[in-house]
Amino acid sequence: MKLSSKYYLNLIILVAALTSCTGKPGDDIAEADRTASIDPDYTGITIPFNIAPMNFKITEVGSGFFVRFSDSKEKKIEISSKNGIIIIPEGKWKKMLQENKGKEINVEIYLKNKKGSWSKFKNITNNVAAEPVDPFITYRLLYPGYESWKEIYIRQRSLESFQERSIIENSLVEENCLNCHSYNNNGSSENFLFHMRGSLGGTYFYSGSDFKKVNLKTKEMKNGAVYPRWHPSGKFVAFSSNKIVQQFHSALNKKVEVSDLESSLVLYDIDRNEMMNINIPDNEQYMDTYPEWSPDGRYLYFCRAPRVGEVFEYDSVRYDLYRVLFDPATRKTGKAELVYSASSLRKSISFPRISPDGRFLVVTLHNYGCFPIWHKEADLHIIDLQTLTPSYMALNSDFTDSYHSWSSNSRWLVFSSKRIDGLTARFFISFIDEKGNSAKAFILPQKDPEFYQRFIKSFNLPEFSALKVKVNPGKIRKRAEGDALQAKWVEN
Amino acid sequence: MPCRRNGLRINRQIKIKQIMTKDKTIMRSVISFLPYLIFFTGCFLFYGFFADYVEFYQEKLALFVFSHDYLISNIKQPGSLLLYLGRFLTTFFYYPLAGAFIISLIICLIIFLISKIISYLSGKESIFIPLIFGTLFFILQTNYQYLLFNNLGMLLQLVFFYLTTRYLKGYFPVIIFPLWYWITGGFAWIFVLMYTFFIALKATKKEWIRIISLFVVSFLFIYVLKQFFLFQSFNTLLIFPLSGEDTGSQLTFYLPVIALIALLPFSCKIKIRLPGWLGNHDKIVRSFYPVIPVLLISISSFICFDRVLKEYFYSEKLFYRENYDDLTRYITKHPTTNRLTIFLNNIALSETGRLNDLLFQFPQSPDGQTLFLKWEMYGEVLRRGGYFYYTTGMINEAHRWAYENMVMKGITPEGLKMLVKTEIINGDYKVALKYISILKNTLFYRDEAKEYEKLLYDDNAVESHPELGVKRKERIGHDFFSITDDPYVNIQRVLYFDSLNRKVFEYKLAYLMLIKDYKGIAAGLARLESLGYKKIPVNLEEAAMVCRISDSATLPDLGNLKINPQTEARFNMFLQTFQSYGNSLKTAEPILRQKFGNTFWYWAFYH
Repeated sequence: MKLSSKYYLNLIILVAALTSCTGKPGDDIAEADRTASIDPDYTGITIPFNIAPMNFKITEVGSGFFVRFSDSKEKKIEISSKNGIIIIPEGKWKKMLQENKGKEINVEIYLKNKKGSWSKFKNITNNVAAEPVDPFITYRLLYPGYESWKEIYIRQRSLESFQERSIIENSLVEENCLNCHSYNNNGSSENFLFHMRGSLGGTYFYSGSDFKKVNLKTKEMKNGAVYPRWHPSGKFVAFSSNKIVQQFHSALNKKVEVSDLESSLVLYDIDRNEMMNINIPDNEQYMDTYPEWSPDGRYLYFCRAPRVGEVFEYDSVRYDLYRVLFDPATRKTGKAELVYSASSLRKSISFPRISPDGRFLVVTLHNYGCFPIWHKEADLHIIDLQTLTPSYMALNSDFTDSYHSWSSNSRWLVFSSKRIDGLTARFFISFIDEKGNSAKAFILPQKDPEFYQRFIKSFNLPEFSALKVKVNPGKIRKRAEGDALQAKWVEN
Repeated sequence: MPCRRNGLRINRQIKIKQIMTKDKTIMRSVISFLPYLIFFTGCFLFYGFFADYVEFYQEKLALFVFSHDYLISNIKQPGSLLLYLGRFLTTFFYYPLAGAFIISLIICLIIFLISKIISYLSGKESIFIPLIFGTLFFILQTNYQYLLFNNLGMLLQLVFFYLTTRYLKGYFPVIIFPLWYWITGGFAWIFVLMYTFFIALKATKKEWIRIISLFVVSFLFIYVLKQFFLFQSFNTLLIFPLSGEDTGSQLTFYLPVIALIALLPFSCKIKIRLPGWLGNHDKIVRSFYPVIPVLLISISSFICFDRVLKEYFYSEKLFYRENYDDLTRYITKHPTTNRLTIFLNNIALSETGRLNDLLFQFPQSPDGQTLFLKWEMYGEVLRRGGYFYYTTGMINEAHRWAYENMVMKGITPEGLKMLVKTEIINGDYKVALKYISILKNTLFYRDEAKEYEKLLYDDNAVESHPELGVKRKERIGHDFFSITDDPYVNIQRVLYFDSLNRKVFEYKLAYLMLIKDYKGIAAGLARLESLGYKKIPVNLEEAAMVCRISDSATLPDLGNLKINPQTEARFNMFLQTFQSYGNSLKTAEPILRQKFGNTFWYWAFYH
């Protein structure tokens, strides 16, 4: 009897299905006394219910793997894999997380050895927080380089999926440098800006449907406007104005040292297009940098160190945390008030960031200087603004932990960490409870769990936001090719 | 019976005639292919044995990685697939003969296709014009910076044009053009022009609609890409990957060639009447066809071959292979004034402990630029300057140069290897693994990658490695900020913290000799014994003799080290020779150069 081609096709499909399937573990399972080693490490973490699937790879030696995600209502997601790579179906994942807000999810991992017998590792339990994370992270993508740059992107990634797009790529703008993107109020308003340095240089202000190119540097200013922070009202942006020098270590594990030779704080009034000094008394004796506003806009926090001379020891420059009262009507400030003296502990502070609920302030603490991304000892510390007491955060690692951003609900913190390989910065997210305690941090999920092993570029300056920047790079390029609005200098 | 015999004879005669006709056809085919074969052979021999520096340079310029990430990052705009294909083929330039084969094949295919196109459009065979074009592309390719994708892009347009005119009728070319443009980028306009001229010559209304459709579809596609997907400028989308830089700055030559190709449909229609005596002796004319490629290739090769480049790149090849003795021997045999060659040779001398013995054997730069290169982000210096730091144990700085080169120019074989080595030496195994993973995904460097991989996380293995172990031991221990605008400062800083660093010391003394700092030289001489020297290097001996008679420095106590009496005798001879020419620098120069050109004394007198 001749068999039809359809029969053969079905047979082939069946054989293929059978041979690709690793099968499920049966009843006879050996129990391992530890959890499975997985990469990334998504064990014992607290995750937002709107996070993208947290795909991972089981880095155990086996001929087959089986994973079961389950909740208290015994709903399951089951995945088999031959090579240990676990890709979680997005729809099922979202549904499971939605249904388990404030609850736990168990992860069972099984391994099949060469002889075909199964063993089970200890369960992994992860908490699903009731609070969502902001839907987007905006960041800069570049080589963690020294002096040169070629490819720089400012990208916006959805945390709820793996979708990502470029806000702007420097290949579209004559390879100018792109940096210092900044949202107001975590993107709950439409205020967003970034700097471009080079032939098309300027500061680009987003206004919902377009960008405005402004030249903030006036002839009265010694240095350009650098690190920005939006006033919550959206009417002002505080910048530091820095003279920065970059030097290269010949022998230490640190590769680069970035220091300020001088810095001060300036204010840009958006509506009036005016630049002015933030005249803090005695500020000529100091270097002031990294401005940060309190959520109510009444206080301006900043980092301050004594001004350096022409010759100085770079590793003895240390910044403390100060704040001043700010009056939006007059644009004037009061006297500087010391908030935290890091220098008295022979430490230095950078990147003060206040939670939107005004409760906590997180800083990067390191041994000296003001550019901690190259400092292995840099760690995040949290200051309770009610008591002004600082604490070391549990989310830290033995490597650089730095540049951080709060989610709009003050429950999540994203920060840059070099804990994976000591060179490239990756984004880690941690849940922060009402008391300021941080949960174990987890790395930003990628569709391919092996992505971070291969990728040699660095993720830089993460900023949570609810705002999706809708202007396409082509429009920005057009703006960039046009003239800049020149800011006016005023004495305040 | 006679009829039958006659029939057999006739059959035999027919068969013989058929065989002869077949032989003639074969013969004609062979003769018609002979010019291509000869051209190919000439091309192959030239690129395989004479201008193999073209393959060497281009293979070292970029690393082709067999990975999904590399593919994705290389198909993101029109024309990048062509670049990807070009880089893939360039991988095989690792073996110059394979590279010569590829280059020759592409050029000969161009010739073949032009010949076919002319034959199809004009109805007549042509070999001379195609060979001329082949020669033009041959000449273009002799510039080592003229990347392979330029000829490849041209070939693809000719293929596409030939196929569309012969087989792909109707609106198929119009429909498929966006895909073609995506693959070949700016080169696709060559096809557009050729096709437009081809269609225009038919001069019917229907055909004009086709031409207009082609242009409309093309520009619409670019517009959509510009506005909604890629956001690049119109100019970039229009011409990428064509660029002056990647043609070796031969645009003024390359563009007219492109124009001539585009005009082929017109030029095919030009009827050239041969002089009567030539037309009547067609067979004689044909017999000269094989001579044409021989002449064309020979003349072009003679004009375009660059001995200086060949010697430079061969030196660089020896350097990368760490055949330091061979490198020095080669440069001795093929003297050069190329600063980069001398720079690499100085490193070779340093690695073999002969920097201050043979320094003046080779032409040096008075400002020290043959010893260490000043930082330069855009030129060829960035690729090579880090080797000085690698040799002298400034591993962080060597790493930085390799890293910056990667950022600016992309991943290159030697650059990636330097990153791997410096990370392993510094014990950054996790990062080294990343680079090794890239190197493993290449065709010809994966074995090296596997060797490096065995060293990871095994300090003992690293320390016993013949190269990396030594470099780890020699790595400088004290930290300071590197000054790449003035590398000599780095030398001083290293010695400030580690005065016993012999390699760096030798570079210092070499530099002091170049700038004729006799006080510094004298101070250095005083330290030789403490640094473990058993004998004074030759050039330092020569410098010592000058210190002895100099007003600006005094020869210090050399301890147990002695100046070789032969050096003293030679110095006396030098002085006597100079005096015999009336102490005239000018008149004495030729003889002093001839007899003492490789000494510090000549340098001191004439620089």
